[in-house]
Amino acid sequence: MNAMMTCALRKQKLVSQRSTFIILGIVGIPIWNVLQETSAADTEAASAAMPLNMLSPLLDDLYTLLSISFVAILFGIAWAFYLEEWLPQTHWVRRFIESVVAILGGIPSIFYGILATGVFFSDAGTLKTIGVVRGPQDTGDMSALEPLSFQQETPVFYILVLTFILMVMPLTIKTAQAALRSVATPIREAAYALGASHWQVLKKQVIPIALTRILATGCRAMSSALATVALIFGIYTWQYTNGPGEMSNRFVLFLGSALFLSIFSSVLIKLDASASADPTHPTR
Amino acid sequence: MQTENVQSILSVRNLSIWYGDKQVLRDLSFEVKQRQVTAFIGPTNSGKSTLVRCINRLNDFTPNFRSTGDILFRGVAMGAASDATALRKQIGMVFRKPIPFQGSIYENVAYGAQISGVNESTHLDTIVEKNLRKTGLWSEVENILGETPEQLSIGQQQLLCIARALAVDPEILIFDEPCGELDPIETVKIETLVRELTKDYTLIFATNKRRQAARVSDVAGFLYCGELIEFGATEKIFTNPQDNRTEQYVTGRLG
Repeated sequence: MNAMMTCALRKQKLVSQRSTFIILGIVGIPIWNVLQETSAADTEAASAAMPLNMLSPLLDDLYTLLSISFVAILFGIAWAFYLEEWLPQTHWVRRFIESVVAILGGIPSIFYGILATGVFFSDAGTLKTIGVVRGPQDTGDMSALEPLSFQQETPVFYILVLTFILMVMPLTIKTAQAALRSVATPIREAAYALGASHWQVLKKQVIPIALTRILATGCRAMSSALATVALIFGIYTWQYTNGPGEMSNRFVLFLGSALFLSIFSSVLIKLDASASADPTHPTR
Repeated sequence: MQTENVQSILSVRNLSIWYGDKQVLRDLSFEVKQRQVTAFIGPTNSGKSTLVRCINRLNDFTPNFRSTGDILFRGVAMGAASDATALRKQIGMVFRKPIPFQGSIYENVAYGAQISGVNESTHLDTIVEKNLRKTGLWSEVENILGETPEQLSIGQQQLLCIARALAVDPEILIFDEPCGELDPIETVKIETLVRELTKDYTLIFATNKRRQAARVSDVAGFLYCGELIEFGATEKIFTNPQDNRTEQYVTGRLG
């Protein structure tokens, strides 16, 4: 009976792992193609089309934003550990941050996307990023545009950075805390009862069990950051290029990666849940 | 069974415990003697688990937990100031549900030894074998040490948890209803093991099965609604109880 259950479980795990790879393949291959095409398009178009010249600094900034999001995710996870593992539930810092996180984490990322787009574009449809004031409509002469970045000292950039941090951090803290909380108290107590120190319990029990979910957390937060970047980029592309040119590939790339990470995180959580629902192991 | 002339290892003095405003233990005082089984019997919610968790200082993690009185381990009060981690290494605990950790059977037992600071693999091997033999599990798992404990029965998992607790090399071992999830055959195994372990360890045993306490313990205490109604030699508690409520409980009219 026991062996049969284990066998069935293994089979189930195998099936879900296989479906994971299939899903990742379905989503991943088109993205990879786009990635290949885009890099080829970049080199071709770099000398030809003007909007692309303008876009590459914008892209640099967007990549900077994505790396900042990545750092923010790491910080978010660190905060989650600190709040959940070190501060008692009644501590005012924990209560304060948890309520802030609850408010900010409930806002959908599309809202941040629109906010960020609002920062990027003025009412006249001028891209603030490039040359801050000059847009194609102002001069009418596309070639007169200088491919300026919105220089990382400008307040606009800091507003964007803040937007991304506000978007990514609460989501990460909330879900990473939930992941840490999902480690059952009896498991922690069993380790403590043997005389394990806090660090030993974290290293040997909490992190191995919560790792998949924390990883899923990071993927989900990165996914929403990417989706926002896709939105900014998509709006820009539609405004300054005629129809779906080669540059809208970037939009597909960002949005596709967002989708990919989102599905990946769901699959991770699913896998984790199926591993936890082990019938021979009622405590996990 | 001699209850006198044996050195006391743990003494509890006027222990009272509150969870928030609710008092769960009222003014408990008793002594635990070395190399004996001290059992606590009582109906559900009488405070047995709270008491034994207190001895292991696991209640430190419970929010709103408050206590007065002293627990002295080898004459030293285990107040909030002393090192709880070091204390728990000397006072191990086995729970109602067996909780094997992630990793193989070998790693589970080795975990106990690693906590107490053993790291050389040859030494670990001997500790793992010694403690699995002590629990009588060695012959059953000898060939599957590298596999996960999931495939063991609940009773075997419980024995594994006992082996893991023994690998830390404690002086006192607390059992909090260790047979709550087990079938009668596995229960007999654990009870036999508990009797054997008294050669080397001091055992504290919480159970709500009165017959089980009668079978395994040297000294028994009857807890009722957070009060220690009676504490003394098991024989006396079960055959000649002083308090009316104890008599009602052991004869099955109460609880």
